Amino acid sequence: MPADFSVAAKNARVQIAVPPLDIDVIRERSAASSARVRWQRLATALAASLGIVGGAVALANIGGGVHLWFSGNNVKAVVESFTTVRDPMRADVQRIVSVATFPVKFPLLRAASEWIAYSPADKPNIITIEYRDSLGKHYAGITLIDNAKIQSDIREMPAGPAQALISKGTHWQTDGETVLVQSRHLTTAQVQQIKSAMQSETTAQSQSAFEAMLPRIVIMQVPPRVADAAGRVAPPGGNVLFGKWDIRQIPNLAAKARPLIDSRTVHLVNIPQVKGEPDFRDATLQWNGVIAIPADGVRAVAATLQRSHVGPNCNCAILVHASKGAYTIWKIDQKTLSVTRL
Amino acid sequence: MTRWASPDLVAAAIAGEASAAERLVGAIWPACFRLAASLIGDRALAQDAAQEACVIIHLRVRTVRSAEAFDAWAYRIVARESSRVRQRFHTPEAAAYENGFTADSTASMDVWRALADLSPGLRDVTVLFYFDDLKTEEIADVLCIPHATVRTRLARARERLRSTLGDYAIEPHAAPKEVKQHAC
Repeated sequence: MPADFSVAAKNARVQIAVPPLDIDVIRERSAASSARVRWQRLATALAASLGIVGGAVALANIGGGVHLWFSGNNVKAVVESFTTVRDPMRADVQRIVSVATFPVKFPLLRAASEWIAYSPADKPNIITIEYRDSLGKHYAGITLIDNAKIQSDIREMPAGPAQALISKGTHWQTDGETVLVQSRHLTTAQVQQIKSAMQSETTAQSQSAFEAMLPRIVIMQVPPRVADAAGRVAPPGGNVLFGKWDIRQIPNLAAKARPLIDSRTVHLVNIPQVKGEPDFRDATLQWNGVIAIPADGVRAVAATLQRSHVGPNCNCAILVHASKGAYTIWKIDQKTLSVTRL
Repeated sequence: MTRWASPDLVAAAIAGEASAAERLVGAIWPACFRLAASLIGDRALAQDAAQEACVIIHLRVRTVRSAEAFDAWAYRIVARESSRVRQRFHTPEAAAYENGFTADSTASMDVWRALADLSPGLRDVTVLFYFDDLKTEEIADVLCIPHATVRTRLARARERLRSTLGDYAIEPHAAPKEVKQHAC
């Protein structure tokens, strides 16, 4: 009687020795993919928010990292590179403003800025600020573009599908910048209020008012309400707040005597175009390498977390304050927002 | 379809329970790797494909609509990633299934040799049909190809296998049913 191929196949497969699974690799790659998905959404939002400047038929060649073409109600974006800063701080904003190609006048909203995206990294001529409400949900997106980069001549749109604009917005021009506002949550009166405030303020005034609303602690992947709780207890000076992902990293970093890197700023470069769309899966990601907590601080944090039995499943965030080489550490419960000094 | 993990664990991962996604990935890893290895024929590349599939499963398991839908979804991901890896590295067909494939018996060696003799398209349907006992309509769903194509490929694969493995019974387990094509 002939042997059954299906039975032999199943037996052969069972004999394949399975290598051990490195769950850390899965975690790391999963986090990186998650970030890419976020950037994909971000770039689409950026392109869509810019689309409102298009009008009937116009063209805006932003130059550098982002190129946009408009035709009717469609936009085609070629995104070569851009930089994002999550939970930007005063120093981040000052650095962007100092190298921007235009005098940046910031809009003021009664909402926290979730992130800033700009392009190109060395001389930004386009800056997008995303705001979130008190629940951490998207509230509004405002894009500022160097007026000199908005062109009126019509060129041929590159091949590939153009993206239909799904949301509406409004825009206006000031002395040096074009302001684009996109939000379903802002009424016409509120937009008008923002516009009037921007027109009556100087660039310096708008910048200082904007900076005053920024967080004074380094926030790395922590929900806004937890960040607010941390902000209430954080002493003046160097503070870093981090969540589950970095809590998991701390023991490994301490074992290898490595610092904790500030992961808020990410540069996306070499973004390939696939079928006329930016494909972030194969983009190159670059981090600034700015140190959030030095190696000795990481060791101190690791020892404290171990002593207090705090691990990645604690459902908490950790606030670290550094002062003259000494580290003070708090644990913030993400559910109750109670703060405990460790 | 083969049950890759306990329904409770899958349900917990879909519900977003803490660490359930990691436990799920740990539980399905052997099945993922062996499926990828069978489809690709190279251990190192199979590890890449299985790992990429596990990353996607870890990341998106919460989007699966129910525990019942998980297995089909996971099969689709592993098959797609295996195909990607195969295309990217242009796996040399003749060398496939030789490096690191444990073959303790003559029967196992026969199986791998016969698979290496098939083109990737025929190999995919053969693996899913004979190794995993998937129905032809399920294979169509996993590979995102028409049901008729699966049946054609399976018929061709059988012809080829008969010429390679004259002594084996390679008859279908059950007559495939006509079903409507799944949207991919």
